[in-house]
Amino acid sequence: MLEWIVRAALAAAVLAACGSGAPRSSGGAFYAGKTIRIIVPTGPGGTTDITARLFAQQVRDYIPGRPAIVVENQEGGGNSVGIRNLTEHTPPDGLNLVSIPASAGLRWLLREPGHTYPLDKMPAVGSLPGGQVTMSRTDVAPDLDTFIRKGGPYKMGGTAPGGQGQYAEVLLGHLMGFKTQHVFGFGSFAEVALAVERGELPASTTGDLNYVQSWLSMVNRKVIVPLFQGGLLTEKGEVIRSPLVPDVPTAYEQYKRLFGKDPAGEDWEAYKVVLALNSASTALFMHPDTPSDRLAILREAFSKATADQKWADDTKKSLGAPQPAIDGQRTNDILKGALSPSPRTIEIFKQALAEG
Amino acid sequence: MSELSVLAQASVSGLIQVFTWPTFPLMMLGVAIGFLVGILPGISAGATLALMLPFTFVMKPVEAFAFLLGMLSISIMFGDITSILFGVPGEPLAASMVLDGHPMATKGQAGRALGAALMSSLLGALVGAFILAASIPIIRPLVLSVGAAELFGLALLGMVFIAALSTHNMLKGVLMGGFGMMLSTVGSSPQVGVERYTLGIPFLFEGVNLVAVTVGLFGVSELVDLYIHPIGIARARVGPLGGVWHGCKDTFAHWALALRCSLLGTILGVIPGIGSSAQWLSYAHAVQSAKDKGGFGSGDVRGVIGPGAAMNAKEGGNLITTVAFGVPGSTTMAILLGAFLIQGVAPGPSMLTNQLPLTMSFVWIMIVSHVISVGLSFLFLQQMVRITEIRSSLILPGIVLLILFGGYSADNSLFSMGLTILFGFIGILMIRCDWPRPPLVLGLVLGRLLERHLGIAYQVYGFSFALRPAFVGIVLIAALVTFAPLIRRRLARQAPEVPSELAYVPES
Repeated sequence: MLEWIVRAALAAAVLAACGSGAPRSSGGAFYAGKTIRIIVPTGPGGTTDITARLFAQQVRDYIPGRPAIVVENQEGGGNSVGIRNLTEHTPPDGLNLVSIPASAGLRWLLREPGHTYPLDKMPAVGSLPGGQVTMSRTDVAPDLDTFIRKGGPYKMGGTAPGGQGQYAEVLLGHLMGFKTQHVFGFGSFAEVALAVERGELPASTTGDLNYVQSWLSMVNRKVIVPLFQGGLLTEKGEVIRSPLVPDVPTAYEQYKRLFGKDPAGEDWEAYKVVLALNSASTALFMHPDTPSDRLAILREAFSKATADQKWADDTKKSLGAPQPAIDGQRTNDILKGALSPSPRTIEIFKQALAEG
Repeated sequence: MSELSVLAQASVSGLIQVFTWPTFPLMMLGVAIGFLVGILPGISAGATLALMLPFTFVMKPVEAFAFLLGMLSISIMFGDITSILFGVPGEPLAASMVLDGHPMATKGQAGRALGAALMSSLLGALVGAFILAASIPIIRPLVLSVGAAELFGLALLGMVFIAALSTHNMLKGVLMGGFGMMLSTVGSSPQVGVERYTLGIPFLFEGVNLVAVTVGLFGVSELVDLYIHPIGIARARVGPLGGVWHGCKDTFAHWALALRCSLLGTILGVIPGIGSSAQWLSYAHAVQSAKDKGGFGSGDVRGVIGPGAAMNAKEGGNLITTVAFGVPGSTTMAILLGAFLIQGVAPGPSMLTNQLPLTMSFVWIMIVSHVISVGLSFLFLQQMVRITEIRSSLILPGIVLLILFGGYSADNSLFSMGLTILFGFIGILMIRCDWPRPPLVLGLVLGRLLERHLGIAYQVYGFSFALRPAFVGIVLIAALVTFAPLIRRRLARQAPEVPSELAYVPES
């Protein structure tokens, strides 16, 4: 939850920063006097929620007509209630958005109960990508080579089955040659961090922002060591390091170092789907039939807000590195392949879920 | 320099920071906003903080925390106020305040109940903050020593208190506790992710909403009660001063109980993941530790003092765990932590060493904002107490709105509103059949913790978790708490008979 909150807060800081002094878009005045509603499919307080509230407060200066923006929490159904409300019960008039966390994408791919909305057809306004870092306790394995040589199975913590971390750990375990065993039921990844510090868990995977904020102190005290990060996937299919953890090599880099070749095969293709969803996380989506001119106005507003130097400055102050933002078109491009995987990839996900 | 002098220096430095410009005015602004939002039904403390978070980006950490915590302090108090005045818990955790606080209001003692609640809250906040400040050097090892097995043990210990909440029929209480635990299994399994008893309804995928259940169980029956008694909430004449000062004096008369519940709240607040049960467990402790239990459930001031003290003491514990480990124990703490992080303040051991003055300023802000919130609430208490004298037909629509909006705002869904009404009928049925309601809520709260921590403990340690010394110790305490009344009764039977004229007769 912490990670979500910080990410949201950063988004807010960015958007706030771009506030009054920022240039305003010219263009149609459709939004003048109107109210934009942002549906948040989680409860109040999480990153998804706070991002939306900040967006609501700050982005209006970039939208011609400066509409009122309200945020409405509609939690439940593993995020499906709020998302389906947008796609099934609101008109495609450009006045309704929904903020979707990355985990909902995986649930949608696996057609979990309730996740019946057309995510692959929904246009994105923009996203704030976030990768993941996998760590080991130093007394268990001081480096990745030892970690692989010992082979596991390593107990890894999580909040609930089906998160990106679980798929990433299982799939990379197949590729690199280590086994994992998942322990679920923790209230948050901060509680997982406590369990690792206590020595109850030998290793874990967490979001890169959470890593910087909650786990880095354990790295500095040599309690844990980062093994690799997932990184971010570009629209060209390249894996790059997350700017938040520039010193940690990606799993792709580590694989090349260990095996002298590029990773390939079914597990790698499935893993790239997880990477794509991470790379387009905390995204704001609209109804599939939203008029293109209204979508363009909101995309431009998002891009201008996150392109401001103040965004970079404020996120650097908090995280040590600027938080990247991806515009709406690129978000959709990154997700394009990920949201239409082959039946075999889906089968691999299901196997990974059962295995974990 | 000794640890004590470092702590003292940090404490003074932290206190100075609180009273510097613009920290103090911002705290007052937070209190004022919290007060205005608090009187509106259905807006939780978490939602209020989330709404205000964007305004903290331009503030320094101390300023942001002063602003948000000022708001939080008064929001928590409003949870207790609606519980006492209307029988509708403002926050699910404040529902235990309904049990004795509201019956006091119906007896014309709303002022006394509110006075006791606010004074015990203040005492709890002060005791909690001072204990925490003093125990900072040992907090990290303490928290790190509590693993999954111990958390399971503590949840188990909490279940033992169901007996204390069962009023006069243990079997019914245990059955209701079991019903609550059964309800806690609705939704996605935390360990394997399988949907259980959701009937395919998406609103149940994440479990039965605790807010809807508590508001329904305790609030709807109050509607029926008001309908039957058209004279108003207070069935007896409200005294000229409403008894506010009497309630304050009650807190000091029962200082040992307030102190014990403050300690309980602080300890439960420090341990991540268990704080949500603090107010219920302190109520159960108040009942269990009382020699004369007859008045509980029908307006015993001790049933107000215990939960009031624990609720605010818990916040202090929560805060330290949040800054020292980055583990927020509640939604509100998660939002506060988000506010810190945006300012570049990262949680961790450094918050208890290099950044100790900053941490101490947070502790001081908690103390000062609580004192201000209580003072402000006292100013308006007399007017609030008068609400209980308003004719039922005038106040009934407002309480219907409070209940329905409270249910709806649980997750902004009509489903939760329906759930509130359903549990309202269940609550009425339970009252009619003399089935105690508190064990159901405790079963629901602790059932989730039990399942989560048992699952984690087993997966981490296997069955050997049951042999861990701390776990064994907690189980022994649980056994002692369970069998203590039986042992006492047995010993009493063996003791020489006391002439009836000398025997202790509890006050009616």
